[in-house]
Amino acid sequence: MKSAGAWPQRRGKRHIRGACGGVVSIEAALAISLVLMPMCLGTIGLGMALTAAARLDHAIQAAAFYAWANQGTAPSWGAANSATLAGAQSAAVAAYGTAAPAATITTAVAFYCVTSGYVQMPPAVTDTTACPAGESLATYLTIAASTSVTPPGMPDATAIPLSVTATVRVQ
Amino acid sequence: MIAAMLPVFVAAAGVGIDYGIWQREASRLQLATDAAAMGAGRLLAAQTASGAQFAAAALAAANAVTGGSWVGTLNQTPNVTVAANWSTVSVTLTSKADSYFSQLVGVPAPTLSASATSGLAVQNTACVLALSTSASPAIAVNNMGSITATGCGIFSDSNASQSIYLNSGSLVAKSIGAVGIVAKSNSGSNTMTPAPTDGDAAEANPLSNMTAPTPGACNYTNGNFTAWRATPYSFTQSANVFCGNTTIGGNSTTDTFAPGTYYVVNGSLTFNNAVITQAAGVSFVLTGSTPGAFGWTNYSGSTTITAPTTGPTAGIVVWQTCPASGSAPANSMNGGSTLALGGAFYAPCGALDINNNAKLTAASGNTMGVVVNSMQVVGSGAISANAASIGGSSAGQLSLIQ
Repeated sequence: MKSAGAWPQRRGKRHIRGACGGVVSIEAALAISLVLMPMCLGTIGLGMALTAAARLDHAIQAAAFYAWANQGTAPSWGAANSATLAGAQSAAVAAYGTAAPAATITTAVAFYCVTSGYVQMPPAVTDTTACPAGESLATYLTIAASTSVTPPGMPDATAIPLSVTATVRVQ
Repeated sequence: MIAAMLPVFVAAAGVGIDYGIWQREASRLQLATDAAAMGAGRLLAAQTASGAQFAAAALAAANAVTGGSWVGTLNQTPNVTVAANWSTVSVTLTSKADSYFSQLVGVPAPTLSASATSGLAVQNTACVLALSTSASPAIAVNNMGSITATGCGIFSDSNASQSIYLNSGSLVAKSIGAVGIVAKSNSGSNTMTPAPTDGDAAEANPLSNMTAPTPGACNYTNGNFTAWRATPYSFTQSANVFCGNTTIGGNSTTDTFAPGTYYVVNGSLTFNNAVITQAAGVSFVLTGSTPGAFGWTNYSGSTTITAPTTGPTAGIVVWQTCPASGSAPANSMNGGSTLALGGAFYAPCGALDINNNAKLTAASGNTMGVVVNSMQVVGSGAISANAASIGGSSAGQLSLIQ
């Protein structure tokens, strides 16, 4: 036999359960729209940026390897080995690939006066004939690669700029 | 539920991001280490740098290639190991990876490590070189024979167990080595200085990049320039192609050779008691489909022949080309005279036999080297070479090895 007073009690639980379900839905909607979705999109964007950065690193590496394998012998390395300079750039472009986002890759020659004990790059020099006593002229290949990544669903103005520069000694 | 799981999602995403960054830093650290090895490798050739200088050069190159970014916190003391013979340098760099999110959830940043080795390409050290890879022995010195290499090495590419064999003779050089084994008899009169090395890497033919010039039409066939005459046999470039076996010398007649290349096509070239009074800037090229042998049989005196300094035979006095068979007849020197060369004796497919007090040496003020398939020096015969490098080879190029 059912109690006459049980009905209102069960109805109240249903009411509470229904109310809770609504709260959960709203909470989920808020969490998804305000937290999870941005987090997912941000993670995707960061992943895209890391991927692009890895491609830039790969391009730099290819240029460096090319330069090491085709080192010049003349003192004025840059002038005497323009083919090597162009080859290093070509190697970097090929290593980066053609997939988006497009990258800008440049190579240049820089000269430094160095000693056997230096551990940081000194300022570049333009006069390749006058290193101070005790220092010798060293020729470096500078490789610069840059691109930008726009996270999904974001306007172009939010593009993440990426750039990598490397300097390798070639003589 | 979602609120409860949210920190887990955030933490997982943060660790994932850091993991991606660590991967990139590891990749860039490897590039930095490659550059470090190349930078340190530049000090190998001089063979004078200290460990600190190698480390500094390595660090400088690493900093240059990365700009110090995206490699974590680089340990400023690279581990540098230089091979005892100055041929290679190995560099190991370590860094503490950057940590942006993972440390918040107790995941420590890893220590990254990368290694690279650079080295100088193998550089020939020998001025007396036997190219045969299997002859046994490829260099034989017997019965008071001697080979002296001043400032350079004696080397055999043969992998035989008697790659070089010394029996009552003398080997004195800057270095003595073989792909196979340098052996000697129990004779008490053996001299071998310094101690040889076995199982070395083969030395490349330093003249392999040279191509023998092609002779023109025959000017002489089976020439015999031995009859007495009051005036010298004067050979010039206007008639410089001898076809068939050619003999020069004897009967107290002198011979002169104007500068240039003299070809002997499909025949031997024999100097028999020749009195050569002029042979500066001269090459003898024994060539054709079946090149013959160079023979020198003089019983006294000293003859000087120097090679051209330019042109396709620059630096080579005697050049016996390789026939298609890969085997050319043995060249020989006999008798008690000295042949002083300014340049190389080059017979990549033929042997050189020096017998009975014959001496092959460097002309005064010149360098001389011997590059042949194999050689034997017997009966007080001697080779005295001194070429610091044959074929103008320079210091080996630096490259990444691994």
